[in-house]
Amino acid sequence: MEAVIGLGGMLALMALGAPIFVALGVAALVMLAFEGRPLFDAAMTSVSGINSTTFLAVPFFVMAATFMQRGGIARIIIDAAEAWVGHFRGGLGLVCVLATTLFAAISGSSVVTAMAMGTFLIPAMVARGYHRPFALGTVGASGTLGMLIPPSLSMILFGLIAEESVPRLFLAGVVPGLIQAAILATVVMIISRKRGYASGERLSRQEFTRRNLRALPALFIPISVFVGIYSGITTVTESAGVAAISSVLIAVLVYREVGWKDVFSMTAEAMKAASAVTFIVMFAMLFAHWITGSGIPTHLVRWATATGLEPWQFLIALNLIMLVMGMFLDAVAVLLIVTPIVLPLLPILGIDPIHFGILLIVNMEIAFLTPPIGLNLFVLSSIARAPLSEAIRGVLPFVAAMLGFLILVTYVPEVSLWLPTMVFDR
Amino acid sequence: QSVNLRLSVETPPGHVRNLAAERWAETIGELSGGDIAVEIFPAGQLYNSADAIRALASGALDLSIQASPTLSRLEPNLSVITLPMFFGASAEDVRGILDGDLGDELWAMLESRGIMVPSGGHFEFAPNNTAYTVEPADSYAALEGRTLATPPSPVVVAIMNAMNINGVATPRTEIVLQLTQGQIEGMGSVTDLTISGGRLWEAGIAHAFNDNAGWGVYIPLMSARVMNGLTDEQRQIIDDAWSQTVGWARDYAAEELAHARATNEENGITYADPSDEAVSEMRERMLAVQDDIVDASGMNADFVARVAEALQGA
Amino acid sequence: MTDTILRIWSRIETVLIGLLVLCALFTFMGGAAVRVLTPQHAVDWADEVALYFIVWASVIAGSTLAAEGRHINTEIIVGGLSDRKRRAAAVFTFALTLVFCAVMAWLGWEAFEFSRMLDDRSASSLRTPQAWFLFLALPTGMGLMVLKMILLAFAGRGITTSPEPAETADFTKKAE
Ligand code: NA
Ligand code: NA
Repeated sequence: MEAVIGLGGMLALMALGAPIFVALGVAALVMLAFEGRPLFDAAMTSVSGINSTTFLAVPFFVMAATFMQRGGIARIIIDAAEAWVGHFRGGLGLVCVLATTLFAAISGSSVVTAMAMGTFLIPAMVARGYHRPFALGTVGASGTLGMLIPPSLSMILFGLIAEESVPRLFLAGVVPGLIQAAILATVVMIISRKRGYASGERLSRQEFTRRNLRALPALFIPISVFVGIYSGITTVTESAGVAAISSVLIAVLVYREVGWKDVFSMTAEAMKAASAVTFIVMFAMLFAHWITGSGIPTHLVRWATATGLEPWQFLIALNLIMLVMGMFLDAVAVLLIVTPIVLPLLPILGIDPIHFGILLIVNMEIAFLTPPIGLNLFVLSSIARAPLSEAIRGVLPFVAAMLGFLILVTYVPEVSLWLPTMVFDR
Repeated sequence: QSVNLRLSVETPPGHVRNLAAERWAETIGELSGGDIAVEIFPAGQLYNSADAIRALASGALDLSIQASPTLSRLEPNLSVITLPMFFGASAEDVRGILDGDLGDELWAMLESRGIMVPSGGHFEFAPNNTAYTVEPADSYAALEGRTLATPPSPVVVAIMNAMNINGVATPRTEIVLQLTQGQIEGMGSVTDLTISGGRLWEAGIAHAFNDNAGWGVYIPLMSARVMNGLTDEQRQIIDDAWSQTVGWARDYAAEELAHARATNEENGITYADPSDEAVSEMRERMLAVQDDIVDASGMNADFVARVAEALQGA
Repeated sequence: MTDTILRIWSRIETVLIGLLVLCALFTFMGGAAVRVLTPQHAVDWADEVALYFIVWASVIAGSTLAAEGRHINTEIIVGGLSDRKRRAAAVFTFALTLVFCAVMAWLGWEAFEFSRMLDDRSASSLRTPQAWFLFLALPTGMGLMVLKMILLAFAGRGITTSPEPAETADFTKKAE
């Protein structure tokens, strides 16, 4: 009953057009007050939710992306990429998926990936005649690769709770990550073909060379980030700082489309775009805190695990529950609620915990895209200053494809387990 | 009338801390004839450790079990068992202190901040070892200059510095990545259980320098604000239930510790087994800086001195 | 008049936000540089301090976002209503937001006082008092937002005016 009131209230406020953070915060506060909890504890919980190193990388990556966008660096890199694939139909859409896949290999989170890449890919796509909802959908869906392709903060969290090896989980994410990228690229091509999105002409050899040469200094940014991480000099979070510093330097010193005087305002602009999402995260976590404490989701998962289903039926039931939870809760809350209850059952059902981990991550990816509470939707709306409804419309075809992908990952454990088994157990 | 209490821990089901919590909850249920029900929230679902401690003090959370290093953020004197004077100490030595008057004094410090410890007190999880490394290291000298991830604790960081080890306080979530990418060369001041629980041999840990350098314990906690709202009888039941649980928790933790080393060795981790002389020599060296550590980490020098005296007398 | 105050205020906040983020960047990367170059002098508080800067920048940004109508909402349902009903919904959600922010400012202040009474500290060797460095951010940010919303109400504006396509176009342009 409490769950119905809390969820219903939150949805009603959202429907009336209240800011999302207010709809979540009011519902959580009222329900916690109803339970008789001291409310200043709610204030502490919401602040402490964003006091986590995970949130350190967000503004830095967005700052890097802002300087790449406004400083012309992004345009130069995209021009070069288009020189290679621009003559394919939906070429820029493919560039978008490919670039995001590469970025996913340095960022550990879905929000960071969507935010950083969206900052310059969405304007670039819109400028070339792609519909904005489609651009939002492409970036939003590819952005979720940030948590499936290693490194992945969610996998680390799962590893800590499940006491499973994180390197093994990371390897398990590689093949599914590449498959997902291929699926998203296919969706991009199908939609581009249907809508007839621009296919540029093949460039003259001279223009091709010119564009690639011009992009060389710009490539220093992604390269410095990759080298920093994979040579063991910087941590993943620090690589966000490396990206920020190198984009400022390249933008101001090399391409000179922005000057030192712009640094303050552009940095603040990046932080503001990130903060619109931070506010929602703060209260989405508080809302999840209330709902977790009410014990309702726990009972729901327990109920599904107690009905004596066959393994394949159990996986369907679990996926359905996770999809519904993922609509309303922060994806991390889904992980924290489901993992402890389901883990002890896995050996009985003959399901490998690493396989389960990947399955869970794919569900979390989808949770980032499904309304009403989907962080990637908010990210896209914030950075593109687009109405939320456009972002929702844009991701729908991709969510449909992701559901097919979820079925693949659920019922073909080899997709996840092949690579880690080959590396660790040969 | 019936009472529903919530207990929050950060560890997943199956962890000794959760097993102890479950047993405590069950016993509370039995002793109260179902009058008091305790629901356990594992894996940090409800609160992470820092939040849980605040929530206990505010009365938003009813019960928890916390590790002493985490609690020392609130009450620095809890770090006393991590100080150099506990290098080489046994579980019995730790009990000698915490089960006596000095332990009561420590728990009273917590109670003045709104958090109560039930009768029966702590249970030990494991002694901290100075280093688990990727490359071999079988002496303190060999460890000098290595960069090791340490738990966030001013006391641990200070001890590492004094040993000429580059201790980098690293959140647990970053450790595996940094190990595999080479930013750190191992982990400092953690236990066999941390290594076996995280299967950290897969992240490259291959050597253990098991010098038994200080202790950490788990402490059951009750919100004073919540307890004051219960009847005397109910409070007594919760307290009694822990007294009936703690013995089991201590035995189980000891058993698990023995098992952890075996697991680690099966997975290729080599133990250095430093001699008692080497460890006591290091203890003497570290005792020279202990006063500075006590001072810098906000501990009470008088209390520490009395613990030192009791420890020597034991 | 109100608009001038709002503009100057937002300008100050923007500079402050930029400054806080740059401080976070230098603290964080400075910590990394020390760790890489002279590991024996590595500090255990660079992340922690950088995070305080980011938390403060985030909450202060909340108020500029309000002034710029950029707090995310959805108008999927309200968009289909008549002008009068839409206006009523806008007034209601504005009032609700104002009350919510005021309540959060109050609760945040209580949280600050509680943390101060508890004297709870960070886990690094700085042992930073959490009340001042962390919890004070919330009442400050929410308080700023309340003040700004009162000014916005005088200026007859809301905090979630969803942008028209034309307005979004200048997002693709360069900074002024
Ligand atoms: Na990633
Ligand atoms: Na969702």
